[in-house]
Amino acid sequence: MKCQYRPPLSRMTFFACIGMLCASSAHASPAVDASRCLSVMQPEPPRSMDPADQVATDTSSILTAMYEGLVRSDADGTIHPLLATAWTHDPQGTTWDFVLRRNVRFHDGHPMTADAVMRSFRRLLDRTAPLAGSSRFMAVVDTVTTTDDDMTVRFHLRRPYPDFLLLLSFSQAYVTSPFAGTSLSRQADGTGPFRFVEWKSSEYVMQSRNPDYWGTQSDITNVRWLWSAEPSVMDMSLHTGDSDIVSNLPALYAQQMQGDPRFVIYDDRNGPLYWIAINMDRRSGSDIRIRQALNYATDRHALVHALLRDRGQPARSPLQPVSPYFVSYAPDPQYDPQRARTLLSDAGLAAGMTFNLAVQDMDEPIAEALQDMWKKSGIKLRISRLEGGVYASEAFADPMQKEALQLDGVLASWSSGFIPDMQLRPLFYSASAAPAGANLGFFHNPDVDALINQGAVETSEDLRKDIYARVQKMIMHDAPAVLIYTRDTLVGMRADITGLVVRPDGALDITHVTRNRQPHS
Amino acid sequence: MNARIINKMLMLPVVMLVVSFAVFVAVRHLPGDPARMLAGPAATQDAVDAVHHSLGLDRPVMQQYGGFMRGALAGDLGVSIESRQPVGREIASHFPYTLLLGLSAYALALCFGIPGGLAAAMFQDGVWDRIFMGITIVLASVPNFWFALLLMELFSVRLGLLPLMGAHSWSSLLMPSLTLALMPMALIGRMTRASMIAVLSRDYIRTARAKGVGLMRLCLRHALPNALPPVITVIGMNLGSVIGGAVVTETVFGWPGLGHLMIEAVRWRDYPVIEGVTLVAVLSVILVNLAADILISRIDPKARRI
Repeated sequence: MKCQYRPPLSRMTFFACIGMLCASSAHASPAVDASRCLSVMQPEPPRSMDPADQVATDTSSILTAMYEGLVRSDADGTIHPLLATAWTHDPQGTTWDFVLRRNVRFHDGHPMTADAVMRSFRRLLDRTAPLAGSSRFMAVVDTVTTTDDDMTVRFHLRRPYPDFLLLLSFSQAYVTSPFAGTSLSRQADGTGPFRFVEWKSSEYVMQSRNPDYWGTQSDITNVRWLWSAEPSVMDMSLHTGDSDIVSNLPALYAQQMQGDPRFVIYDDRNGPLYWIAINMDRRSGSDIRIRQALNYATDRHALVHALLRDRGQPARSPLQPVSPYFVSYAPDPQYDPQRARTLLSDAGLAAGMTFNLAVQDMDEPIAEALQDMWKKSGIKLRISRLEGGVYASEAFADPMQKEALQLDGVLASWSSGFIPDMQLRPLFYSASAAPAGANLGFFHNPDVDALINQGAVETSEDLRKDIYARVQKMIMHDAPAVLIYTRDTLVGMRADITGLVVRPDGALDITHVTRNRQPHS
Repeated sequence: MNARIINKMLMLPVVMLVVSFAVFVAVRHLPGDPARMLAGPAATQDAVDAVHHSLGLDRPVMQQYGGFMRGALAGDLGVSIESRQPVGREIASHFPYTLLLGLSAYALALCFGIPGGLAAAMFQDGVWDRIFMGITIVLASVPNFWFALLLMELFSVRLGLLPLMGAHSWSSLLMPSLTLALMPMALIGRMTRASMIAVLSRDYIRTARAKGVGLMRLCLRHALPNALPPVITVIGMNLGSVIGGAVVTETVFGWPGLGHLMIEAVRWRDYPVIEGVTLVAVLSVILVNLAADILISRIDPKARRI
């Protein structure tokens, strides 16, 4: 009888994982100058390496180092040329020509031409193979074509869109190599200053400096992106030096770091707006006096102070205060519990009322603070704390489902990246009523709809400002939501880091980051 | 091989079939829609419907299950909704890390639990016994999450001795292993103690003692082998469920194992990954228990006759 030794499966697997750990050890210690490396930690892992197939801010941050759009936007929304050096449009604003930068190559070595840009955008607009980031571009762009010139690309819009350049600066519009194929979801292929090296699921994304970059070479040679959903781990990683930059730092940790010379806090005021969409189809939403009472019962300053450590602004409009179209029509004082009681009494609720609110687990502290606050006005707040997926299904439920759930409101947050149409249309336009859009309380006002439509296509800046001022005034009067606050985006950095930019869509731009001295040990 | 083990092996495919169906149906009835999660809150309903269609989620559940089973029998567990990678490849890249973490945690637990429980039983009601019982209560009650953060604060932030997170080197393994070992340390320790106390009161031990066998030899040679079967059963039951236990530990330490993969999959309603990881977890529990049965049948003569 022949006897043959075969290692048991468990032993083979064990050796395999030892090998993997050794391999990762070897990989983690390449001979690189630590002072020219950068490590960035974010709350969420990347969703994809394909810019068109994601809508997550943290994913956009990673992609921004490897891809470029036709234009780029500063933190204040100012547009600068990037892959396009110049652009023109017809008087109606529906046909745009972009002249492309010459001598730019994708990381795979192929040249960036009008044909490549056209194919990149056609992929984004392909209705037969929809990508996660497509919808907002499909609504604006009809077709993309080349011209006789090999370096000019032409966009035909469905209607005039004054914020088209700002839209093109969004990460979903980054230009991808036409030769990347299906590997794009795991392996980035753009024209940016950093090249994709490795994406290890559940661990990190590595990037290295692109030696063939057309622009100024970055001081940083290697970038490592990490993620952790646990805020205290993010904070610790900054202290241990595992991270040089931590995005979306909770206000509590930012406050603790204040005064510590090892760290600096980047405070970007273009953060998300938090609001409660009041269900207009239920008793609490159907009477304007009750909606106004809910607003008077909310002490926004106290919430900003207690929950954000004053790193935010009380909401005074459905637009963020940094928006060029922001106008405050909020009543003064905003907080008046006695007035809230009177309004409730006028609405026949002198004995008080109960308000059922759906809230995502991470936003529960806001709801808890409101619970105590509203009690003073006779409003009993009943909180449904929901896990992310469950929350999404309840928040986007239609009126009948919300009635069955007895939901009076949904606590949500939104950031539009400076484009007022991307804030007002999804949240307050009739046709955006859930589940079609994020009008979660089913607000319906034909006058507001008409003004939102006018503002979206109006090319005169003065007229736009007037239109959006009127929209804000009408929404503040109708009070379809309890607007709470805008939260600043806080980025914790080691003190030797400079040059970080937070883009209007909230993504980090590390392209111009430099380290000024030896890293802290 | 006894009949009980053969029966368990024969039941394996049936159990897997039932579990796969139950998980497949249950996952699809979870609140939350992967298409909505993927398309984002700004997406219109048409866009969400298009993503639904592209993922094949608009087909009847039984039709989807049929497709899944055909693929699974051919070794194809489908493609991850989130990463667009084959689920088999995702599991293969994460499983070794969970296996390594689980084995190292149980190695630590055995190193503490068996000698500690043995010594506590040998000196029952003595000082060491009382200290040991106190320690095991603390170990069993400390929340993993809190203990992990304490370790990180001490060894990474204050002392700078160990890497904070990730799986870059062998030292990265220490804190996650210790965190995951807390509960098994307590279980194995207490089970060893209880089992040893029961064995030490048996007649044959009294006889051996009367014949002048030394305490150490008595415990290690005569008592311990007979006290081990319940301990092995406990280890088998718990080692198999290490994937579930590792979720918190792996998430806090950024350890790229199956627990980490699972939590992300649940968060994004990545159905194929949830199904794949659940099947691997169930298979692990069954196989480890089977291995424990085989081991017990080798060292315990009574078990061979069952």
